[in-house]
Amino acid sequence: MSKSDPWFRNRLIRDAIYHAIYDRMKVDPSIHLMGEGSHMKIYFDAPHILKEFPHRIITLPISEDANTNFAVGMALGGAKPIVDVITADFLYRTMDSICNTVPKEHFTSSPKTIIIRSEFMTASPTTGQRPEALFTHIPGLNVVVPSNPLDARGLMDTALETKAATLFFEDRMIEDKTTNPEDMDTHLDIIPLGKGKIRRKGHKLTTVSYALTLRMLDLLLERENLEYELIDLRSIYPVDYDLIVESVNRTGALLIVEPDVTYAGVGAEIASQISERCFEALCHPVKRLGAPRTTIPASRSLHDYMLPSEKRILEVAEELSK
Amino acid sequence: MKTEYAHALVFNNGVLLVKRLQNPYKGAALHPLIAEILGKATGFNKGLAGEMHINNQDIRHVFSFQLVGTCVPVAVGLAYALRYYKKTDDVVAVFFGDACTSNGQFHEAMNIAKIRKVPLLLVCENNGLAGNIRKEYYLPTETVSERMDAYGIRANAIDGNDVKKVMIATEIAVGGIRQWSAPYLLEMNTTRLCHHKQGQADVRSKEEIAKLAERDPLLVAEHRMSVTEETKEKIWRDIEKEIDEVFAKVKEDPWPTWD
Repeated sequence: MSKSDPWFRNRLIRDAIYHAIYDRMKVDPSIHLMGEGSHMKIYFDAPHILKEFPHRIITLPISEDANTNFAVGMALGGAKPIVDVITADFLYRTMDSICNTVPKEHFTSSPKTIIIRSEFMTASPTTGQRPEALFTHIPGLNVVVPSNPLDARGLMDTALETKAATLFFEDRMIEDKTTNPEDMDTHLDIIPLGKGKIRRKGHKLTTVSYALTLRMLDLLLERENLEYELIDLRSIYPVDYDLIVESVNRTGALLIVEPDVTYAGVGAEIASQISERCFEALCHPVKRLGAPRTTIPASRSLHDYMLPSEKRILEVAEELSK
Repeated sequence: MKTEYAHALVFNNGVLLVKRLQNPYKGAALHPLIAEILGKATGFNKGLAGEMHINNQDIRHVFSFQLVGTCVPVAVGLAYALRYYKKTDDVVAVFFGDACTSNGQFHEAMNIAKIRKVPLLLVCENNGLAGNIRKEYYLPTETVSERMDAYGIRANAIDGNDVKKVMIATEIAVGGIRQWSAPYLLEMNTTRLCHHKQGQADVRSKEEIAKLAERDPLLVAEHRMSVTEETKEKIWRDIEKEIDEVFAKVKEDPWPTWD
């Protein structure tokens, strides 16, 4: 994890998200942005959107639960709402609307496009949690966590075209210097929900990750010049099991590195599925590395304990690739 | 089961789009309504929604919610979308009980409704009960209408068991809401004549319920009708026969399956 400013903002991923939103807004008048302090946020992050579509931005009070339900109402009225819940910790305050209203309305009536945006930071007990795994457990929700601007743009584009509820996470802890600005301007791949991507080719071990830890691994494997396959999940529900199975069948070992609490997390589900599907091919038990089941402390010096160290990752990977 | 009871089941915590002033379920098929409540494949929502989440787009009954309070902010969002995005003159009616006003969702929604000037008719059916809890445990004010002062939302408390009074008050309310695009609360004082749910004892005595039964909206309407006893009886018989027939038919309907 970065030792730089905990309030660090990853401009490039955020810019990419707004690029996608802006492009879609130009052709789709139903897209509306809403949430706490939306006018102010968009004024800073994407002033062109505010200038061109002022009536499609709705600033709502600090009432997360009602705000998400308001978005559901907007969707019932034919709009495509993108509701901003600011930081991921606030999602706990709107669990009722996300888990009880959104998917149930979709199930018993008809699915509609609703995007719930939120971001990961790290600072203290209630401003740095990663609740993404919880939502993968709720039927009817898609959960995406892009690791780079190109994916962020492509996935937002897809989410806006998909009649479903998508939780769209933005990982602010990924450092800018690990992402490429030109990503945003290169041609746009269509990224279907539930399609992972092989970031690095390898044959000794399959490593699977997403968001912050994906970036960590990518840099680490590059620096150490290691021949491990690296899969970026991109969406943690649905998960691209075909891609992982194909890779594990080739390498015979799987290491999952996640930025979230390991206990009952995204990695636990993948480990279980792959153990069932690739039992014959596996030479070692599937391993998981991630955050301890600990409340995030406020002090910056303690944040490093919240993720596995590079040393630990290399040790485990070495063991698994034997 | 009487029809008005079925309506109450559907409307409680429901969101309805009001286009014209009429009984929205008048003319709507009874069969798919009962079938949905009983979980049959022939229901409005193929048995997926049940009584709690029933919705019928044909008559613009947009959605129903089981959890108390949820319906209000959703209705606010819907009213906003229709007024400011679709630019229609529709009024959204949301139905809830007095107990709902203890829930944070209700107050968060009132806040947004007033700030955003949404065309919303808030229909509060006040029966002085929250499930099996009496008013003193959840309502610090005498009426629900008083609570609306805090949001600058106008309110009117009426006898909710008198169909005529309800119709007149609703007509005035909807006219104002449509013209001014503002939320408005109608507090309908009403009575619950049966238990909260099957198998649960009622917190009220039999005498108390018997006293409340004198205010039965059907009786109030019946007294007002200038028809002979014979005709009244015939109407009762016809309606009950129709309902019994629907129930009998629904019982024969297939259960939904998953392929």
